[in-house]
Amino acid sequence: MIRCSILLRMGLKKEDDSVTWSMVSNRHFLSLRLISFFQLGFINKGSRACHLNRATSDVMEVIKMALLKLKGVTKIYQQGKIEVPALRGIDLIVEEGEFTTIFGPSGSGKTTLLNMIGCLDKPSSGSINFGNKELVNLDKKNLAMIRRHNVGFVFQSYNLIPVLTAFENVEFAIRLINKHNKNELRDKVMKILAAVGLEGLENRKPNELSGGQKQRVAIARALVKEPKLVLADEPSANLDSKTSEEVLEVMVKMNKELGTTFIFSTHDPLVMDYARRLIEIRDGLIAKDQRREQDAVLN
Amino acid sequence: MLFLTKLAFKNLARHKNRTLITAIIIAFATFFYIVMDSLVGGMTEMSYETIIDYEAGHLQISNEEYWEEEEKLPLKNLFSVDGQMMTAIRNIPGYIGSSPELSFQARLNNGSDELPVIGRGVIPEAFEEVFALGNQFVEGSLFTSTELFSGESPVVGYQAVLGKRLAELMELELGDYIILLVKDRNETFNTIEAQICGLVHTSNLNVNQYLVYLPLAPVQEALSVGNEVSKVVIRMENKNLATGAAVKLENHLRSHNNYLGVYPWSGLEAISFAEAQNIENQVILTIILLIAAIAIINTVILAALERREEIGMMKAMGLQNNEVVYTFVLESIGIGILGGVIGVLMGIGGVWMMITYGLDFEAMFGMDMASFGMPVIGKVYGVWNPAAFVKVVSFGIIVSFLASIWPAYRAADKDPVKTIYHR
Repeated sequence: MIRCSILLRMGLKKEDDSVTWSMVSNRHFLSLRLISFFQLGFINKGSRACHLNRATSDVMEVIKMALLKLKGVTKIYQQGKIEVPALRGIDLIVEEGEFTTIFGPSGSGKTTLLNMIGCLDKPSSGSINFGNKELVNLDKKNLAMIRRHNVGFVFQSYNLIPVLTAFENVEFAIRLINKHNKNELRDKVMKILAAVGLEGLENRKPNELSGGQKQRVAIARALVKEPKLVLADEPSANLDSKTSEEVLEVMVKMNKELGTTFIFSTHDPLVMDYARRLIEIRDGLIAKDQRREQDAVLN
Repeated sequence: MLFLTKLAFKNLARHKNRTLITAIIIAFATFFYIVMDSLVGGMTEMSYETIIDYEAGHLQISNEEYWEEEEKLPLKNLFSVDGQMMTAIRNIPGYIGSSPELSFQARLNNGSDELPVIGRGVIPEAFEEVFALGNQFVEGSLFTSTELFSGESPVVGYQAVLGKRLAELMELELGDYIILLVKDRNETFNTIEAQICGLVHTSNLNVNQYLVYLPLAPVQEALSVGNEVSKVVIRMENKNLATGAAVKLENHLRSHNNYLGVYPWSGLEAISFAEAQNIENQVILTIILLIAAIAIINTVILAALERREEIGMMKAMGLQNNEVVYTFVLESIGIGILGGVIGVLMGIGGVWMMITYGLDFEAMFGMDMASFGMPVIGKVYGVWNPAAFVKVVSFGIIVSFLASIWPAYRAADKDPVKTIYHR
């Protein structure tokens, strides 16, 4: 992959593959862009169109790689006169297509971090970039628009709307974007419901579905609008291990097929087993950030 | 927005019982408003009839200056009725009858007590053409022009008709003598002695409690006013003809007597008072609809509390505050419409019952409402007022809409993190 070659060119050894993106400084990013530029030039000299296309696509992958960039993010909650720090200075870069798990003990700040990333909350200090957008200065309305178009959520308690069928719950998310005609919309919803294994159950209301099926609807709802990022907060907490596994398989499949970035917050070792990147949070700081070889991952 | 609209209406079925209870509260408020409006309309109509039938007729002719001081019942600015005037009166379209009358202040004496009353000198035959007193005699009957009292008493005197209630107050009975102490036109005290020949009980408080009817000629003599009268009261076929006829007759009369005015029933102070009562009733009924507003606020607050997580999720999905508010407000409007429709159906039934069977206050409360000043005797019948249906349903929907905005906005403005995680 071009990422590896770029890292090697930057003087990072292969065994350094475990190096985290949070450790890659802005200087490295600049280097990445410059390398992309030269590589393009080199390929142009070779004047072979197919090479050019492939290289362009690879370089574009590099350019769009950083979906999220957090720098010095802190979050302090005020409880009466006492200040409670939840995050103490997080530096993190998340690439597109990652399948990441944030774990750590209760109260370590993982849900707070997830909320910051998902544009649900604002940091007390530091900066968060979502793509090329700086989130800190955006108002509620603009943050909502980013969530509407780019972020899907999966929560522990599913949070489905009980009066709507599985189909309508999924349809709701895509209706908000309002860019499909009626037939396209129906096809899209049916397709995603089939993909998460809910074919034939689309007319059931949440109370007629099992916990696993509800969570699948929630996943379909999060994915149907093809967001850049899906955030899942303890998605397996209310599920038995077999159902958890099934649900995670669905998410892995979606990650592979759609290239959607997934970030989980969890205590569940099973979820951690599926992750290709593990970030441990302790006392509001990243204690460990580990990328795993594809082979090490369960699937 | 279409999807949010669909969601709002689906939410109506989420807690069917709660929706139904709130809708029924609105329905009852709507029902009461419609039935009360019908009843008040019926009573207003009755009070018009009461004023027309027993006091004012459809038109009144009097001296303009007298009209301005009518309440004082002066004995000046009176006028004589001549043949030319009577011809003009009889020629107005829809004419039924006319009754000249002389009103005066008097003190009624029963030998021991005295009460201020209004005396009214009338020509009985003409009076019966204009007023509906003939059917309201509880004892005795109206005097005639020619007949003088010829009972056991050797004294031949005047005859009088008065309200049963007044008679009771003064402990008088049929056949008793009354003395009316009056001041004539020259400010000289005089008395009119008369024997009671009839007692009436009507829906008109004035007739029941303050009026004493006497033959016109002896009254004119006692008050030294010659053949003059205070006014001529005219009865027509239809009360709706009165206003147009008043203008025409006044123009005609002015060519001979430019001081005379013709006044239709609709311009009377008592009519304005009846309408004011109507407005008062509407204010009271508005309070009933405010109760409906409280029911809506309560429902939205409960729904918002129950759906905290759901609202948080909707906001996480990217819904703006106004979109969340929209779903709640629309849901409330739905409840308002549902309540309004149920209320209208109940109201149609209620008004139909009111029109067909009426409402017997006397049977309900065991009291005579006319004695309390209400223009009601016997049953009160309702009237159809389609405007009230439209008004109350519109008002119900507007109230539902307005009442839901604040709690819905409060729910929508909550921090999504707090609502999702119950913080």
